Amino acid sequence: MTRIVKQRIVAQWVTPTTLHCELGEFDDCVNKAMLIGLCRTHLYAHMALKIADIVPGFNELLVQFIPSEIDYYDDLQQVEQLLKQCINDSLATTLKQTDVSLTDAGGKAITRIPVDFSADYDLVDVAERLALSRADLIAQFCALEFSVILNGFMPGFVYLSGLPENFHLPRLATPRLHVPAGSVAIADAYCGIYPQRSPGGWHILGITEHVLFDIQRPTPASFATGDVIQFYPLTPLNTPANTSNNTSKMSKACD
Amino acid sequence: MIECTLTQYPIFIIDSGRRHAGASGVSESGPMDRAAFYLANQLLAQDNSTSALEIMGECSFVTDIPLTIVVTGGKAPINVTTSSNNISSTCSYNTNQVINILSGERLTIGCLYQGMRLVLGIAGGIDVPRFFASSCGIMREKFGGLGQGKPILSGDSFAIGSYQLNEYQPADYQPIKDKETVAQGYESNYVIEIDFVPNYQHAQFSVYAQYLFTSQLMQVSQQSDRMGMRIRTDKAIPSIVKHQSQALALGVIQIPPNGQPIVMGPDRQTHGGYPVIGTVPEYALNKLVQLTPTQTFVFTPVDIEMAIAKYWMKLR
Repeated sequence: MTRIVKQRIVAQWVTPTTLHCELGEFDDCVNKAMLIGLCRTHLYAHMALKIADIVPGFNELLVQFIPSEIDYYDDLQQVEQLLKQCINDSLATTLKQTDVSLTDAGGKAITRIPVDFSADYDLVDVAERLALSRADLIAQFCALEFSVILNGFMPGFVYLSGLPENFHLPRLATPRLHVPAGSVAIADAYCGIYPQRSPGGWHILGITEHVLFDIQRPTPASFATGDVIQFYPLTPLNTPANTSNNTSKMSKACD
Repeated sequence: MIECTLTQYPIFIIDSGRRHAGASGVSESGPMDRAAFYLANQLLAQDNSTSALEIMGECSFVTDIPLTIVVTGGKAPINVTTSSNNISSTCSYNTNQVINILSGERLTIGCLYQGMRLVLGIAGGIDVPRFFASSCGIMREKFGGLGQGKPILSGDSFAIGSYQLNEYQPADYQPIKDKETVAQGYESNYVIEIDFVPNYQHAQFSVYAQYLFTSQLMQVSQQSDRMGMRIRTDKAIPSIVKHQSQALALGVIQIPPNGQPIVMGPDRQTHGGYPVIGTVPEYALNKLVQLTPTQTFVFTPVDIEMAIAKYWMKLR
């Protein structure tokens, strides 16, 4: 039951209730996170009554069906057709990461998130490895626009795409036992924000107080696949870091 | 209210699982043994998403309201004790038998002598706040369950919801007889076969790894939990290198670098980075979660069409 549509989508039943849809390779200029977000919305809009959940992945969508509503062959065909239609429509309206008009005309507003860079976890270390000054690193990082790929790993943990290649660093050799809540961190090709205190091996650049997941809200997760995020520094860029202040903050966070 | 006076293991509140939760990074959750869960609600003639309890060991409850319950899944002694005027009388029941309990009586479930998990279905279900259309709770997610994701422990009390007869119960419906339940075959002398569908990165594994995966006897490790069933094998299965995380379906079999497979359960994370050799369909997962750590089994490949056919056959 595997079919390929124009070499792009491979939809396949992986369990008797789950359809795995792999989107193929695209040009580098295509913002895949935004594309997967659009595909998800498109599937929900047309098949809402049949679907129990759609889990977006880095290059795939996992569609879980309500068992009593499944119609194996027809659903496979319909999902393929909807995805194909959505991808073709989106690509036609140029989904490019660097396209400024997308944020103006496309209706996707940028969410700006304040980040406190004063607590030095890995900031100096990362700056050294990237051969940048601390201030330059913060300035360059805050100039970037990130797209939300997905929430995963824990409720509200956002994986962000849009990290330029010179920022790619392997994970820490020894993961931290406690990464504080709100840590904005980078590893490999991704940037991420920790919604709660947990173990983790990413390079922490700063801390944000933005709440990423609150179960009491109608939509608990702050961000969905395809949203656009930009960070801004909470403290003025040129203030030299006060070392005694840093250590007290670090010990507080590590309690 | 029902009070859990004593329990050997944490008791989990379960229902058919969360809806539309994956995009927020929230686990699907739900019962480990789905067949036992549906059977419990069918026997009580109520909606099959009504919440129930998942029990792994000895426990006892005291109720101050009349209750109708049923225990499905594995096998364990079930006793109901009435005490008045210093005289107590005990009545024993079977699993898959609907039991009426009066207020003040004590329900005691003994040690499991078959299977690993029981489902205690209660008419009306458990009345706790629902998130993502589900009462399930996971400790690490800090919501659901008895509050903050907590399971039921000794001394905890909980309320019962209002009972609603499921009018859509087919008229010719007959409760499955004991010999036909999912528990059947555990004590068999034959090797237990657990079906799996080769997919995800199966083709990227070496032929030797594929051979080792289906030719060896396997056992369920004691470190298994609702997140994943850890499987032990003699010869480690050579894994492959995979860089990107992927969305995980229920029952995917991950092969971590140590070569000991992990079958992902209902409380799995939404995404995982280990390569996946295939998926265990729901009907086989129901069997796998009931295996004790001393039983051995083999993984048997089936194609997806066969898995779908078997899935619907077992559901009817």
